Amino acid sequence: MELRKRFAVREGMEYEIPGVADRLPYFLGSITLLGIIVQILTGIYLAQFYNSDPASAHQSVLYIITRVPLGDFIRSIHRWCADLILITVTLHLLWVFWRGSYRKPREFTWWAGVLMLGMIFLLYFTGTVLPYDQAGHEAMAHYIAGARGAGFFGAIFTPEFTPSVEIISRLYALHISILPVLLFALLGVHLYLIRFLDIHTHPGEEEGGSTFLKHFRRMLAHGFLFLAVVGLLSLVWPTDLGHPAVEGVEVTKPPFFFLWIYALENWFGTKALVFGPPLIYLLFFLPPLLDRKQSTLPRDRKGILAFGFAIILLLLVLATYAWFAPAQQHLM
Amino acid sequence: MKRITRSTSLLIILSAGSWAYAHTTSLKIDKKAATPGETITLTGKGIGSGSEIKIIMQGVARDYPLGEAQGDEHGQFEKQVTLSGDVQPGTYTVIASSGNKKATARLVIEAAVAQETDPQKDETTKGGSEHRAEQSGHGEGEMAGMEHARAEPMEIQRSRSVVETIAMWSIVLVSSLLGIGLLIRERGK
Repeated sequence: MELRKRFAVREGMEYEIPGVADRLPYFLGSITLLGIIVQILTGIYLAQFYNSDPASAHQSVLYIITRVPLGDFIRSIHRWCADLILITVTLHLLWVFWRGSYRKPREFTWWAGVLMLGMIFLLYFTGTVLPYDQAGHEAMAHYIAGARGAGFFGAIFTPEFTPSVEIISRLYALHISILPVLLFALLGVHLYLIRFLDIHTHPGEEEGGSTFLKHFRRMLAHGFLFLAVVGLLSLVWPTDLGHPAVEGVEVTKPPFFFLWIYALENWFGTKALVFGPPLIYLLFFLPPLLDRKQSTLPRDRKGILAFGFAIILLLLVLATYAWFAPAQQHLM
Repeated sequence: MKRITRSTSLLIILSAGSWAYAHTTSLKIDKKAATPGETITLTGKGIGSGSEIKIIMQGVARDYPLGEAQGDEHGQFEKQVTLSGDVQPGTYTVIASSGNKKATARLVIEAAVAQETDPQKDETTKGGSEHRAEQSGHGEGEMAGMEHARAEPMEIQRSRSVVETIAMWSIVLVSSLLGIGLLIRERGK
């Protein structure tokens, strides 16, 4: 009771929110947030043993797996959690898109979310490079090819930008400091806007009916269940490590969420690295600008919904094609 | 008196110096960096006079034995070692030891670099694996197979202590119970 007073729980958390917010899809964002917290905690532990020097990076990951207490488990949690975060954040985005919750006055909530989505994908990408196994090395080679292809705009991301730090160490700095700081700054904006613009409701859905404290408890419950699932997956299928990187070999494919880029590369070469991801990413910013109708009900927004789901379908088709297509060499 | 003090001090310093020199251990490697399968030469002194010297290469994830050497009466030895082909890249400490004496040296193992190809320079427009097959003496199919094997995960011997296993299952079970418990409590309200 005293703690509740000291932390002003009643004043800060017992405000009314719509009853619909207690439905499962509304927890996708908060599950993602709790997943990010798990990533920070496990990341801090892994950072104590990881060495971003190219000569030692792979070996230090082997060390984490074989000799660090709980190292294998914590690393597996970090990796599985990253995979599940990509799924929950994508579903969260699709749910918000379906509900039309990006419409006025919530445009900036949506845009902050889309920027966070970009940060999460970059965090995932930089994370795949760090073990410096064959897949990580090839991912880095593609990153460098993309940066070089972007000319002036990509110069800062190339190894030529500075000879004083290896590119993998710079990607590590992005992974553990720059991207998380940006992510949390955007998260602050996102949560602030949700708090003060309220949760979007459709006509006929009651404005009140629940409180944030109640919602928060359910959020914690879902977070614990999410952690249990991640832990179980880590126990049953611990994360693999590829062979140490060998230069001049290109035999791996990227993780599923990046396979659509691989498909584009199969057809358009490394140019696809420069134009593919930015073009698709920019499309995510468009809904609030294109969808100006009064109603947010899905039946009144068939055009924009068809456009959005066509994009998602296109990405899935590209990823499926790349999954089954034989591995190709793009950089040789 | 002063002379005696000076002479004695000088004698002590010289004796200590020569004792230290005689008991100094050292290990040198002819290369700072090597690749798996490469031959390196180790030279050491003061480690084990006339006795067998054990040499290992200690890595963060795994140790590799490099064999034994025979020291002369000053504990000096020279040994050529061919590194195993499956040595993982990384920074290693090579340790030569005999009894309670040991010397260490640092060795960086670099990943073997596959021959890069430039299709524009290569008149026959051979693919990467085809070209590397010629360079290495392996058959093309064999080389491509070796390269594609790199896409597979490494075989790692994972071992979990009882404490670790209990800790891992505890995390899973406690999280499940807390999650389910909180949901039941909330639904019951």
